[in-house]
Amino acid sequence: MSFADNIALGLSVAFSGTNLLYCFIGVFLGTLFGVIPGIGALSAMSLLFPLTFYLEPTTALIMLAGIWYGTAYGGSTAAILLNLPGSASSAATTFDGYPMSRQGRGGIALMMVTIGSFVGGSVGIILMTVFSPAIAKFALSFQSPEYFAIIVLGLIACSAITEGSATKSFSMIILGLLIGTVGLDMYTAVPRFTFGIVHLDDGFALTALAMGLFGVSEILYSIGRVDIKAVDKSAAKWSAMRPTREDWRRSWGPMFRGSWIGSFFGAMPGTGPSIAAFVSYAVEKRISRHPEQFGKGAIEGVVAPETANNAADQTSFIPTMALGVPGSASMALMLGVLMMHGIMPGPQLITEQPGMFWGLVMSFWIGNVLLVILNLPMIGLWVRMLLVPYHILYPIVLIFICIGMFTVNNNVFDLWIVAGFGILGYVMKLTDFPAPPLLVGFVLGPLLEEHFRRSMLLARGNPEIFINRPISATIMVCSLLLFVWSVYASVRHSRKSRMSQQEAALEQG
Amino acid sequence: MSLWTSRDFVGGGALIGLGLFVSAYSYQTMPLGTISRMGPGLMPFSLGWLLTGFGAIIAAGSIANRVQIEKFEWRNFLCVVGAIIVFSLVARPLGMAPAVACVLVLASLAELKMTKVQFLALLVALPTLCYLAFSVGLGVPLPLFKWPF
Repeated sequence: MSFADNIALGLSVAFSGTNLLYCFIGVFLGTLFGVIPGIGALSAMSLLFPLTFYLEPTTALIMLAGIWYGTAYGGSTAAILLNLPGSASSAATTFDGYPMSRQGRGGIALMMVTIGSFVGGSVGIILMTVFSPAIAKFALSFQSPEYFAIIVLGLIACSAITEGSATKSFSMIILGLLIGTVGLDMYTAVPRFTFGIVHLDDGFALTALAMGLFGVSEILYSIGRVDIKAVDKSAAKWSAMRPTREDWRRSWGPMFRGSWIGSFFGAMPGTGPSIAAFVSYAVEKRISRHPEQFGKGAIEGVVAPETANNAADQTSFIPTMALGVPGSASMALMLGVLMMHGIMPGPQLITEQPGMFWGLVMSFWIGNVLLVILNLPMIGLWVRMLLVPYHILYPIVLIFICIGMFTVNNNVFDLWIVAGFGILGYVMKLTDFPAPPLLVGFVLGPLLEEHFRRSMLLARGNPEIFINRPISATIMVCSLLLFVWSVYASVRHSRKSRMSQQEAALEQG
Repeated sequence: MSLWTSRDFVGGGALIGLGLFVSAYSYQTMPLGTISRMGPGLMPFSLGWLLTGFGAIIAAGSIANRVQIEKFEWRNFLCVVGAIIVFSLVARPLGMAPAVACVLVLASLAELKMTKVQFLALLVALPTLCYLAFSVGLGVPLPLFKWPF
């Protein structure tokens, strides 16, 4: 089929009545959950995952995807007006977004962020349209060693490019890999860490893990901490949203660079929109002619991360759909939808299910246009949502977590797992361990082990197989370089912070 | 500041303990196999050691650079985790409305900021909404009320 045929097929699927409706539901709920602090994309998707049992797989994907990229639009609203990231990927937006709204320029920030998000999303969609089929074709020749190498690269990238300590991220990856081994072994059916509990034979449910680690732990941590401050309601008026010529002039560069940075980190397994947002913020700050304005309401610092996280949201579908390797936990949920309907993810997916793949891609355009409409003329609605105090919000969220989890398998054991991982996530927050790498490890762990064991069988235990094959060797060298770089960076960073501590001590002494 | 309340010492120490347990447990209960024919225990066994190693690095780093661990809020813990457990016990025998009410009551005990009017409004609105969304909308087999006797 030619390229134009594929686009036409995709449009016909995406514009069907049901798919349009669920695309709207997805982006609407995405914006809603994005605005509310404490529920990120992942918790929102896990909450609505049970709904997808009742839908066609394509429709289910379109809706979940809408939630996924919709939260990025909504997350920026809370970040700018409240100084609270509505979702993790908007954390970088608070640095300059909140100062802007303190200066009465919140409306302009909201406007530019929405435009930036649309630009970033568009670049991401175009890249996905062009590259996914090519990558999938290329990947048809991949065997276990290549897949193993890609997964290793993803795991290392996830922990190497992080805001916190790389050692802690690595340790959380390993913990995630270990949690992923729980259940019956896939080749020998030997139980691993099930402690005789039958419910654990299939391992932990991804949704339970996600809701515990992100939903429940966030509630535990936030009660008593989050106080809703005054919200500048006038920021939501049209008249307050008109950017000056100066704002436009300063925003083109960040939008352009943010789109590419975001697309790159989105497409790389293990990294995603949050990392893309932080990196593009750092890049803008470094190349800016007036870095001292950053943190005090520089428009570049608002536009860049929001453009980047939306671009990353779209391109993260590339490894997921073209290789069947989920780059993040949210993408694993997407693949979960496919597998539930008996569709095998992998490079053959695009040719075997063209309607599904191209319909999904085309729905991204519809979704992004809907999001611009939802986020500019209807911004007042979301601002009102922000005024709901946290002490009313968190019991409601908790109730939805309980019922949502109960409905997945209709059993109470999953709820205890949610509670357990909620406690784990809370303790991790208190001791400053990052949760996202744990989830990435959990998602990629079974794949990693499967491909490693298969490679070892293939090579009769000779690990040279990973460097004798050109593709896997290239990827392995990249992983190694990334690992060395991250160790070097963290050593340099800790030395620098210790020196500055000593200097501070000297000054005080 | 004492090492025992240092954030990374506690965290790293926990990882060392966990890693050692995992390695020992997988060595005892699962066949390790050989590298060309890996058994189910090999991966957890090696990961356990890796985890121990990283835990040691993190704990060692805390000796020079101590950061006070954040306070564990017992009240939040009891209320939120308790709410989930109670929901899991109440939902099946008594139905959705009592379970939702239990979560609402327990969860709001963590932070007594809700006014009476807000509380009563939620008490009525939430079970109704959940019933409409999940039982009617999605066909989840969980009735609003159930009488077990």
